[in-house]
Parts: sequence; structure tokens; C-alpha cells
Amino acid sequence: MDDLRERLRRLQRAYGATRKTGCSADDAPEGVPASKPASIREQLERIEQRSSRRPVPRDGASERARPPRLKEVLQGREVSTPLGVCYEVKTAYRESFRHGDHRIGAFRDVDMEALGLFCGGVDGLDAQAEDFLFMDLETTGLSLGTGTYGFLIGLGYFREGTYHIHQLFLRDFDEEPAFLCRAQQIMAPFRHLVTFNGKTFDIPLLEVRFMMCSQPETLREKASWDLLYPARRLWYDRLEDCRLETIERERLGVAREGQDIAGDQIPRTYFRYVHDGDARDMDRIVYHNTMDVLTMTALAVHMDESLKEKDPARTNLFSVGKYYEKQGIQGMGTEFFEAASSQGPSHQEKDRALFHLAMQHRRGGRFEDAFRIWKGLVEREGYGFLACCVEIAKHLEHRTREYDQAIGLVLHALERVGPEEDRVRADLDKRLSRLKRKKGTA
Amino acid sequence: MKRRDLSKVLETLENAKFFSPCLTAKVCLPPRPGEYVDFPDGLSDELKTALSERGFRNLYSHQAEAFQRAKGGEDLIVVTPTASGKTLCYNLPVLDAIDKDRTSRALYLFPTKALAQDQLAEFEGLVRGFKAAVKAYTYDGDTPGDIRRAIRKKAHVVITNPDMLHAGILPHHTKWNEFFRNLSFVVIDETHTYRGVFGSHMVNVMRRLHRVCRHYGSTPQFICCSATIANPQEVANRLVEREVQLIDRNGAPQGEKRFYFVNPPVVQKALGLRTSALSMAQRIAGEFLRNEISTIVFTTTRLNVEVLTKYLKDLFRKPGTGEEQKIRGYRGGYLPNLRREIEKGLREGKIKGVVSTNALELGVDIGSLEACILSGYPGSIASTWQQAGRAGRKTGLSCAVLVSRSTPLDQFIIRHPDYFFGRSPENARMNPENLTILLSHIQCAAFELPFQRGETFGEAELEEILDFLAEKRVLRRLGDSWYWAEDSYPANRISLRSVAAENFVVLDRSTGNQVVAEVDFESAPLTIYPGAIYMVESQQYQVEELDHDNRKAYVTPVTADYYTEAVLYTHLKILDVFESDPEEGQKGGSRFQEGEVHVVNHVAGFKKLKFYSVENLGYGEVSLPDQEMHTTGFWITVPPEEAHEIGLSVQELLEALAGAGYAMQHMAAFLLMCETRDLGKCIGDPYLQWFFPAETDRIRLDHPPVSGDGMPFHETWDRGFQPTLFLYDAYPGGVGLSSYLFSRRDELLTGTLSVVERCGCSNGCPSCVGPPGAVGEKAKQDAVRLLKWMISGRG
Repeated sequence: MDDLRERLRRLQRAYGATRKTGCSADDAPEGVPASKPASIREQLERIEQRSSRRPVPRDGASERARPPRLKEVLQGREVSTPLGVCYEVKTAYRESFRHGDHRIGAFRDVDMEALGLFCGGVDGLDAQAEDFLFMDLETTGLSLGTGTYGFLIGLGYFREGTYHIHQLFLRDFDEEPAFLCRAQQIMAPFRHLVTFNGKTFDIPLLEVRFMMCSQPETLREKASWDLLYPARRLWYDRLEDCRLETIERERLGVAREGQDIAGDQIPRTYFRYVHDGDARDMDRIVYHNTMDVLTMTALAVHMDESLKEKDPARTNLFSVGKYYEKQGIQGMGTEFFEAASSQGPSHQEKDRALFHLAMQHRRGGRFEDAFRIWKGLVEREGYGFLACCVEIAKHLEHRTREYDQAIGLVLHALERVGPEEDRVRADLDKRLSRLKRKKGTA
Repeated sequence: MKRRDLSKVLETLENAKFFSPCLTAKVCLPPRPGEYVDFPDGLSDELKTALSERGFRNLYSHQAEAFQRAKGGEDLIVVTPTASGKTLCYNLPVLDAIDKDRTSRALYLFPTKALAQDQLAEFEGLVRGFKAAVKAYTYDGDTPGDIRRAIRKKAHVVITNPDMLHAGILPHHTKWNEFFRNLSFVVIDETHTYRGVFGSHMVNVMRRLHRVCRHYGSTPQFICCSATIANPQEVANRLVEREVQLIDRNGAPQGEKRFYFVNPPVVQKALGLRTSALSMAQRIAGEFLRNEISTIVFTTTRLNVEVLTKYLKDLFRKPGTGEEQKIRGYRGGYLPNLRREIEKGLREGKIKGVVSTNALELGVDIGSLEACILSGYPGSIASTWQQAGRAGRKTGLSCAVLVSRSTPLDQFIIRHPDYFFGRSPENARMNPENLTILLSHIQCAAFELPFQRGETFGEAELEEILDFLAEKRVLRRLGDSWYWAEDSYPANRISLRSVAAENFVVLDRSTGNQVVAEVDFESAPLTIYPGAIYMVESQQYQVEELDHDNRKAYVTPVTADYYTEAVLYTHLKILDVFESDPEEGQKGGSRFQEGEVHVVNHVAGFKKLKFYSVENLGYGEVSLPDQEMHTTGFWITVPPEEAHEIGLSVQELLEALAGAGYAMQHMAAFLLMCETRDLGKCIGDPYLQWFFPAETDRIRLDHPPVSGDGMPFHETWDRGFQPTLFLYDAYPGGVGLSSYLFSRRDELLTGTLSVVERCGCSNGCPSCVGPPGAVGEKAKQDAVRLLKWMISGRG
């Protein structure tokens, strides 16, 4: 019996193979006569043609007479850093400048302590407007990972009665060390960093970039105000979504001009510039970024207003109350539950607020107030009906020892238990038998 | 009954009527004493104490050798049999390094998540008593997001798999910067599993790992471990791309071992039917288990695990004794907790018998057993030794019994024991320079770090490839650097394995939808179609509903006297022809083509088979979405009107094509340096959509199978059936194998012809056209005739 491998080896010797590839010396592929292989170039072309994923090379750029250069599109300048030259665009706004409905300088009047509390518990007590840096990034993609670049960093801040926007633009990948070095220079002095979704995107992405270039950064040392989460708390069911552009359109009175570019076009447009030197639309990306930075500033003002105004039609006060409750700031929670329960846009929402309010009362030892609310909810058969019955029954059982009434209430509740709510039923049954026992001994 | 020891049991068995006439070989492997050495000097006191506490008084020589040479800075490949204490070969140097330098880090790579879990437990056991904590964590798709950050910072040892390294770690290396900066060891266990296309991917992932380590200034040492294959050192050299030193002098003692080959008796001469391997295995296992001899039975399918587990439990079922609990099943798909429980029971001797798929072939720790029964040839010499190695004790006797099925390959092996015992295990092959695979990983690498001129990436013409990618606007070249310049995450486009879709879960409706098992995507249509009997450790469930979109199967417990088996057809459609020789429309002999194909696995229905008698109780209908795959294929069509020209009848032509196809698939795998399983194969006519079922032992026109849509074969002939042999990439999207075959079709033909012609067998064997029985008696000479005609027609 002859072995395949053995025969292939002989074959190999017969053909006097010289090619070195393969894993195994005695594994004979080398032995087989070699037909002339296609050049690497041809093979690559073939592989590329067959992968159907890349249909878009240049989109008519060559048809244009001459694509604009960057300096024809952006009014920026080169800045030297210890790590080379980079490119930046500077704009300044008077504080009286209106971005939509808001004066940009109104940020000075924001109750920093209250807003900080609402932005995840940041300490804003002694913060001045000058301590804040508003940051927004334009990137070459949405995936976090070492191959995604931030190519435009927009930085807004107040200095000497003026609102400045500094935008660093990455003209090519080899400029990144200087680009980041300059960014760090500008960012370093600020103690507070304001972003929109920065906690999960902009900040980690920048950290990757700094790490890739082995450069120091201090992003995590700053107090981080990410406005996305507070925005969701305020408006998640009041707006179609909580994208920055939706909020500014619906709430801030900002209308972007035709000059704006849609966010999902940005990576492609930037790559066209990188590959072809075609700077067309770079001004639109810079405009887009400028608007994002200004809007963030106005948004902070508007949030502060919304918290003060407590308008249940425009703001979900209940969700705000729940946030404070979770943060352990009972007083603020009570304030918002009360506001929501007195003038909520729907019975459902009012009752939900009432229910939570009652729980707060109970925790605070204000049993009468809590009792009053539960009774109202039970009578209306409103939100938390069963839970309210249980609470009242507990009250009657443990405090006032009115067992008959308690039994009546538990029986009432048992009638309403849904077929799926086995645990609730079991609890009620337990309570009922205990009440009956107590009643017997009393 | 008094319990007898193994040698007595074997003595009886060898004389038993049901056994002795069936014996085709008995090979005795003599005992070998162990080689022990004292704890080496370099070993820290803490490690010595930990080892003593775990009952070690000294080390096996190979463990000490690995420790010393690793300490000396060498990269190593350790090849010793199962249960020879391989893990200490890497755990000792790694722990020693961490002991000397607490910032030192290690990366452990295992091919599966289950093995990673296993290692974690073993590692934690070893370091439990350490004064300064050494932390090891698994890091894979199951790791919750909130503890990932902590693992990156704190873990001394990260235990993961190649897929996670490829798509989850390397593209985020900055988050791991401290880890990579301090990485001093990379451990690749089960190195022999990295072969074929998977191995080719792995080499490229390792190249990316090297680049990232270089970036952070670390040069980790590699320690690889492998089961016995022909070329373990070559595989390790290939993976690490450095000279890796071989340690294969096993210092663990081995008791005597007897290896038996058993061919079940013929029960129906006319049809050549034999007693099934399963019932023979059951009988032998029964003899062992009756005498409390710890036994593992390997079967070739998951279904057989369940059937045999039931049979063996039935054998020992005595109400109230719980005796049957000493026999368990084990396979992929069991929930992790259940698997851990069974492994523990085996180690502790509470479980006496286990029936398993090859899931227990890899290094899962189950202690050493006395007897191993292989119900069916596992398909390769390497796997057979690996499975047989599960029985083997340091002292005293052990045995392995191979029971053959009636399939041609099994029959060949069992009748030619010399073929098996006379040769070394297979080579592992891989081709990391496969351009399609290489191109994918070069993109991943560019995403991870920009390429600099002068860098190398395997043997590739790197600069040419990078410039090509720059031209395609995937990269941006600036001076001597190439930057990633595309809005995408390339690692997500590339799967290292053929199937990555999520598992199905099996939910028991009688217990409020508790999960009883998981089923991988590929086997779902074969196991959990509505009406199927699904078995977990011989508890039977009937599948009531399959929610394909949500990957859920709802079952209820039943007691049935039958089990179910799916009937599978593979169809193939040609979507696009890229290359054709001769051009279409031109006349010629055989036509060679290459292009895009659509492969469909279709479950047509299922059979209900009675336990024990295997009587067919009826068919069930199944309507499931087909499993489909777009890939690239290479095919050869022989016009039927040429049959006469070649000098063959139609029947002979088909058999010749089947025989030549068998040899060609193997030759192709050699040419491509891949595994035969990386290439799919089928024979049929794609235009008539008529294919021979894959499981059919041989192509018989006298009893022709009926295709999936019910057209009898003779009708296809009237419609101009064009016999076509397909070889296709068994990977979605293809990995360039078929296109390579087309471009080297002449070599493929002459190579195949030479292999068949020079084979010394008379009527075919597994080394040429397939074992007799799989192909007709004349298939070998007819295949030669067909191949010669194909070649001559090409001038």
C-alpha cells in the first residue's frame, strides 16, 4: 500500500521543486509542475472585483474643471507646535450673539450647581463660564477602534466677554501628532468639558488617538458634562428623538442653513478630500461642527431654563423627579413629582408622579400625606392600583390596626389581580390570611 | 457479581463469541516508566508550595525541561499525549515570570470557549494559596461589558480565543496598552487545531499580534502545545514565525495499553449488512461497565451520543439504585454547568461511563480512564490516537477498541490495520499566504497601526499590496506610511471560521421555558425541526415549535420508542461563471469552469427510527428555511455523449467521476495546503438541479436515489444530464481556493492522475479513488481512463 504523501513527495523530487511556500516540507504541493501564476497585481484585481463591497471610487470629481483647494474653502491658518504644523480655523462671537432663541452669553446666568446635579452629579458649584470647554468631534467613522480618526475638533469657550470657537482640521494623517498636540494645548486649562454623547464616543475616541500617537492628554481629569443623558431625561417622550439636531430645531429655534451637511455624509466627503485633495464641502463640515458647538452651549442654557420653568407640556417632569430620587436628592424629587402630579399632560403621568410622591412621603414619615394619595389612586383605580391597595392595607394593619378595613381592601385588590400576576396574588393571599389571624386574636 | 479487573475482562472478551471472530487486530503497546525530576532550582518557593499542596512531589522530565528552556528565553512547542500534565509546561514559566515581576502579563489562546473556562479553573486552583494574588480571567463574547475594563487593567493572565483576539482585542489595542506593553508570554494550546483555512487565518492574526506587541515594545515568548500530528514543530514555526523548539520527550509514565480493531459481523450476506457499530460498542461497553471499569465511548455524531447513552442506561437501569446515573452523555450543546458536572464526576470516579462526540477529544480534564471505545473511525489517524489516548493510566493496563461501521472508509481501515499502525498521523497544512486571506488581514493590520515602509507581513509582497489598497482608496499612502482610510471596521467582515451565526436555544415548555441545551446554527436544521425527538442525556423531548428568527426551539418532554433523523440534500446553483476553459459555446472535451455558486442544504424531511431495531416507522415532513451559502466553486463537466469516446458506459462514467472526484478533492487540498473539509464536493447537474445525495455510499444507477424535488434519475438522462464534479470553498464568500484550482487545473489533473495511477492498491483505497465500496470495482481503472482523457483533450 502506498501512501499519498509519500507519492507526492516522490513526485516533488521528480519535478525538482524549488518554490518555498507551504507549511510542510514533505507536503508536496511544491512538487507539482507550476503553471505560470498570475501576477500579484492581477490576482488582487480579481479578488477586489469579486468583493462587491466597494462600489464608490471617485464621484465625478475628475469631471470638474479643478477641485477647490483647502485654502480656497476655509479661512484658517497654519499653527506650529513642537510636533509640527497643523491647521486651525478661529471664529469669535459677541456674547450677545443669538443662536436660535438663545443669547450665547446667557450661559453665564446658568445655575451651574443645579445643572451639574442634573448632568449626572457633576460639581458645578464654583464653576465660572470661563471654566467650560464645549467640544465636538467629526470623525472618519462611527466605530471605535484604532483605525477611526477624529479629523475636526471643534472647541468653544468664553474669554474676555467673547465666545470663541477654535476648530482644528486634520489636513492629512501625518499631521495628527501636531493636530493632537495643539488640541491638548487648547484644552489643558479648562476644568469642565461639555459634550453631547462624549462619554461613549468623542472622549474615548480622542483617547485612542492620543494613545496611538503616544501623547499625553488630560481628558479624564476634567469634570465631564455629557448633555445627551439629561436631554433624554427631559424630552425622551416629548420629541421624536433626542438627536442634537432635533432638539435645536424643536426647542432652540435653530434652523441650519443649506450649507449644512448631513452627518452620515461626513466620512465619505472627508475621504474624498484626503484621497483627491478635493476640498469641496470641507466648509460645510466646518459649518456643521460650528453649529454643533454653538447648539451645545445654547442647549445648556435651555436645560437650565427647563428645570426652572417646570412646564409639564414640554418637559417630562416625572422622569426628572425619578432621576433625582435615584440620585438620593429627595427634596428635588418631591418638587418635580409635585409639579408633575399637579399639572401633568395626562392622568396616567399625573398618577405615576403621585404614586412616587406618596412613596417619598412614606419614606419621609409623612404617612397622612401618603395615605391621602393612595386613597385617591385606589378610588380612581389609577396607576399602581394594586400597590396602593397593599400600601393602604399595610398602613391599616400596622399603624391604625383597622383589620376589617384592611381585609376589605385586600379582597378588593384580589378581584383585580390579572391571571399572569401569580406572585402578587400569592402575596395578597398571605397578607389576607395573616390579617384574618390577627383579627381573630384581636 | 464480583468485579474483575481489566486484564481479566479483556481475557474473557478476547474469547467471547461475539468478540473474538470479529477481531482484526490486537496491538500491545508496552508500558513505559516515568521520568521524574526534582523541582528545578529556579522555581519559586511559592510555586513549590502550591505544587506540593496539589500533591506533586516532583515534575515529569518534560515539564521541568519546558520550565528551564522557557526560562532560558526559548519559544517552545510541547507535544506529549493526553493527560501528561501539559498545562504545567506553560503555567510554571508564566507564574514564575509573574512572581519575579508583578507587572508581567500572559495571553492564553484556546480554540474554544469551553477549553478557556477549563483552563481558568485549573489555573485558579494552582494559584489559590499564593500570598500575592495572581489574577486570571476569560475574555470572550460572554464577558459582560462592565467588567471588561477591569480585566484589561488587572488580569495577569487573559484567557481568550483567536476570534476574540481578531475582532475584539487587536482593533482596540490602545485600551490594552498596559497589557501589551507588559506581555511576556503567549500560550497557544491545542496548536494542532490551527490547520487549513482556520490555521491560515490564525497565522495572520499572530502576525497582527506581533505588530501590536512591537508597537508597545514587547517581545513575548511563545509556548505552544499540540496533540500528536506529523509536523507539530512546523505548525508552531508557521504560527509564531520564529524557530520554535520542540519538546516531545514525554516524561509521564504510561501503563500497558492494548488496542483492538473490531469489525462487527455480517448479518445479511446478500446486502453486506453488518451489525451496527453502535450495538457492538454498546455490548463491549456493557462488559466493561459491569465490572466498574471506567469507560469512554466516542461516537461520530451527536445523535449517536444520545442513542448510545440511552442504550447503556437501559442496560444498567435498576429502579431505585440510581445506577444508571453512573452513565452519562457528553457533547457540544449541553449547557456549561451540566458539562462541568459531568467532567467533575469523571475526574472523581463517580461517573463510570461517558458517551461523547469528539468534544472530549481536546484537552478537557476528565482524569484518565481505563477503557476507550471508538464507535466508528474518527476520520483521521491523529484523531484516532487522540481519542484512544483518553484511556491510559500511569500504571496498569488500559485499552482502546475501534469498532468499525459499514462505511467504506471504516471497512478499509479495519481490514488493513497495518495502514493505520504503520504510518504517522497526518500533516497539518495551511497556507497563510492565500492572497484572499492575506489581503483581509493586511487591512485589519492597517486599521490597527499604519504600515511603515520596510515592514514585513509574512512572505507577502507587502508594498505592492499596500499600494494596491491605496489605489483602491482603502489606504492612504503618505511618504513611507500607509494609513487606514475607509469608514469601516475590517475585522467584522472576516470570520476566522466558516460559520459564525448564533446558536439556537432549546426551551422546555413544561418547566416554564427553561433552557435545556444549545444547538449551533449549522446543526439546527438537522436536530430541532418540528416533530424531531431531541435528546439530552437520554431525556427525550419532542420539538413543538422552531422559532427560526429568534433562534429558539420549544420542546416538551416525551417518552418515545423512536428517534428521528433528518434527510439532507445539498444542491448547488451556478450564479456566475468567471472563467471557462474552453469558452462556453466552444466544443471541447471536458469543460473547466470557475465562478460564484449558491450552495443550499435542504432538509427534506425526517425518518422515525425505532430504538434497537432501527426499523423505519415512517417519515415526517419538515418545512424549514434552507441553509444557504454564496461561495466560489470550481467544476468540471463531462459531456455525456463523450462517454463512448472515453470507452465507458454511463454508469462507469459516473463512477469514474466519483472516484476521480475523491482523489481530486485530496489532491486539491494538497495543492491548496488546506484541509479536505475546507472544500465542499458534490456531483450532479446544476442546470437540472439534480444531485447525488452526499451520504450515498456510492453512485448506483441500478438503485438511483431520487433528488430533492423527486425527479427520478433516468428522466434527467433524457433531458441531457451533464455530469459535473464540483469543488467549492466551504466558506461564505469564498476564500480564493476555487479560483486557485482553476488557474492550476492542469497540475490538479496530472497530480490526481499520478496519485491514482501509482497507488499500489488494486480496487481503490482511501489514498486514491476512495475505499472499495464507496466506488465501483472498476472505478479505479475507469478514473485513470477518465483523467487521461481529460488531460489529452487539453493537448
